[in-house]
Amino acid sequence: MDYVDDRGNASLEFLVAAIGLIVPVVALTVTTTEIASATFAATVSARQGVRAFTLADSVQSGQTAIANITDLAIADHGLSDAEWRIELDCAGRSCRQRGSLVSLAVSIDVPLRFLPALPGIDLAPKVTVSRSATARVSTTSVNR
Amino acid sequence: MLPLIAGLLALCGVTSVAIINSTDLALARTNLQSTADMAALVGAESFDHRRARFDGDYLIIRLTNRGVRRAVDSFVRDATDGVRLLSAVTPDGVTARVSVRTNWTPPLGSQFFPASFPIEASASARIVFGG
Repeated sequence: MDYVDDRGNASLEFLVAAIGLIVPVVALTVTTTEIASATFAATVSARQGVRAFTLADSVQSGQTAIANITDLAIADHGLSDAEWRIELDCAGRSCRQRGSLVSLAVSIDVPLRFLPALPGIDLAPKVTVSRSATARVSTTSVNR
Repeated sequence: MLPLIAGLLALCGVTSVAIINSTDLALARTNLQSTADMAALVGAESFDHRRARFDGDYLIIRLTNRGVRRAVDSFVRDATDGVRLLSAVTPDGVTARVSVRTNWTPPLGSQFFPASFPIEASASARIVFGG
């Protein structure tokens, strides 16, 4: 009667399988989680930042409020080392004019720490997530 | 061993797709709620200032369904993409109530199972002058 030889070393097989399968799965999970966290942080920053800007006393204080909100949101999501930038669009009108639409886009760069940099290329691998929100400057505000 | 590896990979793949899709749904819902909030604020400011009057320290304003609808419709058209205004009314003359809807498509897997689901959000806002 033929039979399959099932002799082997279970510990060795487990180690090989763990390194080959579980480590990439964990790396993928951590990376996906960081990208999702950055997306949530960008969403919150855009949503709250544009509202704070439309309520601010001046363009300068509005931009400061956006920066503070973005810093806080990014830190809350555990991405303190991530780079970010904002883009304000006032649809061709003054950002301080009553009734004008203000759009804020927040972009966050998420470093891919499990992906090694390519040799000869001086760019760290990263993913950029971007979210935007639009609000209207209050027509009844007394600050302007 | 191979069936176990294939099973593990399939399980990881299905779980990843489910997590990524549900995260995207949560974000789409948050974005839509943000749009509804902003639209409600626009609706709450749609009163006719010529008809406002003082009552002691308070400025009494009056919203109309027509005015709220017109202001909110203009905001939704200019500020959003793919969002449809369901209703914009004022139930009491000072509060603006807005409902909006958009279609959400799963970012992963939609190539194999084309599906689109409507999601809705509502918000209310009112402005009080004085006090």
